[in-house]
Amino acid sequence: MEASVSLKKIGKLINGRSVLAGLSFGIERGSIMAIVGPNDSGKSVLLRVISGFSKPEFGSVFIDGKDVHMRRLEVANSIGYMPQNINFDNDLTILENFKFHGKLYNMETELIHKRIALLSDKFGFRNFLHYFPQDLSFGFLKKTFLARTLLTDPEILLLEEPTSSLDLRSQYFIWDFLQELRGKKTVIYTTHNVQEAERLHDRIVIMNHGHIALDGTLDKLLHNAGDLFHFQIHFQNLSKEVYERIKKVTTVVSPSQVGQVFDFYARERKVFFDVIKLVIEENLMGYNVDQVGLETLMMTSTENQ
Amino acid sequence: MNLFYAFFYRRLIYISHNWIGELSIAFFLPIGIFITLGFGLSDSIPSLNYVSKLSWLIPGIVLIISFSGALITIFNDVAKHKQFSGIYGSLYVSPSTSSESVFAIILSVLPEGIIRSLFAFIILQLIIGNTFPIIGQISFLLFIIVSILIGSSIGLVLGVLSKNNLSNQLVIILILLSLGFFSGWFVPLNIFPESIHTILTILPTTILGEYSRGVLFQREIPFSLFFIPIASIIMLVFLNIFLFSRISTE
Repeated sequence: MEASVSLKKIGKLINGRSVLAGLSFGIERGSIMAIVGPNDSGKSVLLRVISGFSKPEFGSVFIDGKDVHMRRLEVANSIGYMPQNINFDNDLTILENFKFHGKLYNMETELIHKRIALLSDKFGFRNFLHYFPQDLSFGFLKKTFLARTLLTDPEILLLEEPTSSLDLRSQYFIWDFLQELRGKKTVIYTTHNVQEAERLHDRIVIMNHGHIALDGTLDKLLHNAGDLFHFQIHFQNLSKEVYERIKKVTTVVSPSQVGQVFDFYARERKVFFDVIKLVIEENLMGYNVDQVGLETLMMTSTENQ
Repeated sequence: MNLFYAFFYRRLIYISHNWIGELSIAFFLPIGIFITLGFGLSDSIPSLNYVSKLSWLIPGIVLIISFSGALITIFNDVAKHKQFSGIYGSLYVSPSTSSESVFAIILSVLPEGIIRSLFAFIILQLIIGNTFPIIGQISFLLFIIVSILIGSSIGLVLGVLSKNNLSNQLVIILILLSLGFFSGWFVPLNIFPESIHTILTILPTTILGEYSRGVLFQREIPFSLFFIPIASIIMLVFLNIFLFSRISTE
């Protein structure tokens, strides 16, 4: 499938600090890409660069072969950008906010009304069109805000944490809705919610410090992670001396102490027994062993860089 | 044009939601200013032939209403919403250039400014009981428009540059008060020291005030200085385009 969005060696500096470092990848038309990563990893900046708002110091972004920053006016209509903060005008009703947004995009009045009717039915806010934003709950407003992003029927949706602070029912609604868009629109969204990324993606990008730490489908990422296991050993009293002793085992990955628990990762189960041998004389209370999921993969891949 | 319509539509909605407040301000503001200045500054006002002495104040009051209305409206809107996380964020990623955005924002307050100013003009004429010649009134409309455009352009500059809302509000009050006096809108220029006369007479707002009185009181005035207010608008628009392009991209 052809690429809808292509990034070529994108580099972005903010106050002299590199927030995006030489990113190059393409996003297939009609696919869903989840971008996950810790705070300050560059997720939101990446979306802003793709939207054309943020100009990169290096490299170019292409949408359908057109440079976003050189030919912004030509590609702006293809992009629907949903920022993390709901930026409705509180002095206008929901309906008026939609109309103003449509007019910003040169939409005909008739088309605006048609789209509002369609979206308000789909998202269930038809009866609230004459409400002011501050009179609606945050969750409801967030869904309405996503609907406003869709008003112009853009080909590419850039969504900043579309389900953050939503209850589970609303999250499922948005996940199901975005699933319906698969194959029709290119969706690129950022999230801290690993469950969301696992559930809704054709591709997952894990970002850290402006770099891509990992990139691929969940299956591919987990496969590449190999037999990475997550271990937790519970002690009655985990002293500093014991902790220092066992963290020096070379095959232990990302060791940490959480209260009386020694937490670490390893590529082989055998490592667990190596650790146990070292602490056999201590009072052990129990242990946990998990196969690594996206969450731990994200933790380990972003921690080590 | 579409972008202008978007912003004009937004202003129209604001006014329709707050029509009682807008109407009250439109009605009471000129009366309030007139009473205050009339009582306080009547000794400074020059005598006029054929018309009431207080008529001298009318052009200045109408101009300050048109100028300040545009300036405050644009300033508050831009200062409040200019962040990418505000509603201007949608404008920044929409298919519009900085120059289109600047023109749309500046012009969006023109219709309401004209109506507000004409409303004030009519009320003040009714209070004074003196009607100006129709040709003078039509010419005065041109100066009202120029005054609105200067006010909205300055409002946009201040809005884009504003960091701290409170200190900027104080700056605006200072600008409006000083312009009202130093432009000869409220008091004749000859009360100021001779040393600053030259500077004051070439202020675009002073020229608007003098020309307005010229056309309303049918005085002979040299129109050669009219390029100054027009040039001021052009310079402010270019400055705004430059500043707006800085905030509409990161």
